[in-house]
Amino acid sequence: MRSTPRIERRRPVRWMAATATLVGAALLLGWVVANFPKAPIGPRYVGAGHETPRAGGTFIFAAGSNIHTLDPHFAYDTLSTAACRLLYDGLLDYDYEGNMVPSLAAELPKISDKGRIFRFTLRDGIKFHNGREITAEDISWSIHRLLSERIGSPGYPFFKSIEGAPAYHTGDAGRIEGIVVLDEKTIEFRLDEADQTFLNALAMPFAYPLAKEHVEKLEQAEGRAAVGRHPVGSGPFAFSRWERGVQVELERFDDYWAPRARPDRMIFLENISADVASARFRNGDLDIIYRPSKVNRLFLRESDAWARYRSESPSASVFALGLNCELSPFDDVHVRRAIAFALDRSKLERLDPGQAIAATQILPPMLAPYDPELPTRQVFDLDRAKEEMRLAGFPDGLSEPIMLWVRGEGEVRAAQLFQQDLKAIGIEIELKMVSFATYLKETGRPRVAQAAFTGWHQDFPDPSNFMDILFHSRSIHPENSENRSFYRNPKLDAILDRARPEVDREKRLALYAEANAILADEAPWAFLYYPIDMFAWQPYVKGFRPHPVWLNEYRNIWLDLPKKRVSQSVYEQEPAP
Amino acid sequence: MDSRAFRRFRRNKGALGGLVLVVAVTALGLVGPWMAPYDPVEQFTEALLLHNGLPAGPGVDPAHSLGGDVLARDELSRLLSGARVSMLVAYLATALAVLIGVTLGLVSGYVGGRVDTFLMRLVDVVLSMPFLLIAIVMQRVWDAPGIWTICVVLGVLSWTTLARVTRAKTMEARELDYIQAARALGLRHFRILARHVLPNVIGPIIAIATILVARMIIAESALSFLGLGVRPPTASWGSMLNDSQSLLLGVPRLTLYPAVLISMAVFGFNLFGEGLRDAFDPKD
Repeated sequence: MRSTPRIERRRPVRWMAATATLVGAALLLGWVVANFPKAPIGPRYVGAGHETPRAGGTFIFAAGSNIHTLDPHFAYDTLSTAACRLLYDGLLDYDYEGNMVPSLAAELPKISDKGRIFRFTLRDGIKFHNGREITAEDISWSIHRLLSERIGSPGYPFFKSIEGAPAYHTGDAGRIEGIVVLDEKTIEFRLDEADQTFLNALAMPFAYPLAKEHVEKLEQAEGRAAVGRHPVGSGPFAFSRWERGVQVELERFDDYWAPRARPDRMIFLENISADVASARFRNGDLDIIYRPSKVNRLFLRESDAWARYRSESPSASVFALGLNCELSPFDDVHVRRAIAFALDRSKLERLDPGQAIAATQILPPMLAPYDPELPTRQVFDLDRAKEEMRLAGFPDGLSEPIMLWVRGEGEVRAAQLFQQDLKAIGIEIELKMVSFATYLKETGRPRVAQAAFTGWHQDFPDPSNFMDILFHSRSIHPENSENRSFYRNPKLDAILDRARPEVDREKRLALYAEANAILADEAPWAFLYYPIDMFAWQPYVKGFRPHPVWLNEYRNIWLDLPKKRVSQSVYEQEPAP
Repeated sequence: MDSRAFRRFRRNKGALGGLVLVVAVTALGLVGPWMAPYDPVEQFTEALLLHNGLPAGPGVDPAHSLGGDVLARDELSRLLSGARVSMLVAYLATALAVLIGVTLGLVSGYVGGRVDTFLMRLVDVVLSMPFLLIAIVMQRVWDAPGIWTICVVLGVLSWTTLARVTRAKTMEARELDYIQAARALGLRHFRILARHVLPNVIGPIIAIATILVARMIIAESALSFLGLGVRPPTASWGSMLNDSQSLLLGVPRLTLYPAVLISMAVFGFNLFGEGLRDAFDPKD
């Protein structure tokens, strides 16, 4: 009996405690929400206001995945290329108009024997980061390394046309006949037949020279991969440190042959997702951002405060659905055409306004002979798609689903967009998500992948880089085919073989225009879109503009330091857009 | 459930609340897809995309009450049809775990000796493996992961607690007089296990299985969130979380909807399961 009053006294206390806790929690939550740090709406820092380029400072940029290697002989992905561009130089380079210019070479080569022989003279005072002068022998040795079978570089196919290169590659010859060192400063390349893309190949990172003594020592001590971890090049920046998977640090090379780079150091952060990179950029912790995440991209596009510090330009890439022409049902051109007709590419433009242009042909818009008027089958037309399905003998669609290989989240999303369209002509698509490595290995084998989300980014600005590599029957191999749709067309092969050595530019472009039309018509790829790339940089970052060939070109950057912090309230006073 | 346990359960308000939630989300899983106003994979690029490419919110188009998702599909329809996938995976995976766990537990507890030692070490081995990591690896290795493979992966990795509890209860029951009597009468082992031991151990199994359903919902969400769950464009609550993460900052509602549903379901199963456990075994 004594316990009863105690319980009755405690009950209101408990209720009050509970209510108080709840109210307290709600207030706390409200306070947190109200005071939640907002992302800055404009740049957090501005420059000091210098007009002329200044030296000094650290330039920080980031990428979404791992840097594969710093050995240019293996740099065949965008990140490795971006890093190698800072560490190395080649004989040739491109300017901001996409024209070829000499780099380590003193001038563009003398071409003789109807485009078969190229003679280069090296510049004076070009040095490796270890201080040794670069000679013609270094150029020769590096290309020998690149083309040796022992090394197994993916760059070999670009240099096959050098006399004796295949024999050397297979080990039948001790050296490449077609590379002749005439003296310390002069080197000559002799080709089996004229090849208009040979100079483009020489401008690729594959052909960047390495210091022989350094490479041989490393390869002997630690193996081939070590070269990619301890690079010695001749570029504007020298290697300082690489914490694998985290960041690469470079420092300015003061003995550089051209005007020195301006920043003291460059830091290339790895594995920073687009979301994180965007947040860091807006907080002022990254100096430049490339392909920000969707929400941030929209923000940056619509923000007045960022208007002067962003760029959007079409990238020299194309994305597509690759259809395996050896496998049913895509061995039938009508099914391929049906797919090309069925894709409503405008959906992508609506979903990502200003980020994608509907693709109608293999060549991206900035690359001649792109033809905006091309009478192409690669446009959305449901009736014609159904008609093609009828011609193929599948008026009611396919009975089996198509397995479409995709490489990651972004592609899964894009592919889903088109699943619906293909359902409309009775084609069910199932997505098979695989790692990038598996994707490359398996889609490069005949008769494995029926269809794949695919794409191509140019290695150099020449139509052959899109057509020869991706659709010539010579690019079909039992392993690692570059022609992943296994498309064989003797007529196309003949056109491409005539175009490649053609010296007359007009004739050459006319041939590629013909090939371009065939590919759009035969649809080994159902083209999807050309991406548009966005860059945004901090106001104190100067000297950046998108490069037509190199994706992340930061050689000419300078920093307007010391940077000044500005209050975000500055931007709020701006008139609303 | 005997009447005492039932009374204990009825007095537990939390457990009753849990039951309500469980019934609600299960019903959603059963009838959700039929209630969905649209095909969950159909895209409405005209109606459900704003000019800047972001999905339209609730009320922009009255025909789509919750607006669109990242790919301009009807959000409500995806939530409703996703309910079935999430519930199906959770229940099937749990059923598989129960099947494996109870069978091994009964055998282990009843037979004893080396069989028992072996099975319990097996439990230790499975317990020592990091659950999500192994699930991810298994999903990766599988050629074409989908709903069924998730059920198998999750089920195969989560039967251990069930096996242990069943074993302990079986060992207790084995010594009971009437089971000794049944053995003395020469009943076959299978019959003894099925008819006499199992009913004795079923209570705690149900309680643990209920809580396991909650864990399976979370596991499925986690796998789908990592992109290793159901195959797109199929919706599950977890895959919807994954879809929406790219727009987390700009369009948080797309994350909120599935997150709230997942929390509700997990909360409900946990409350219900704990209520059952208390009801069956007041001593704990």
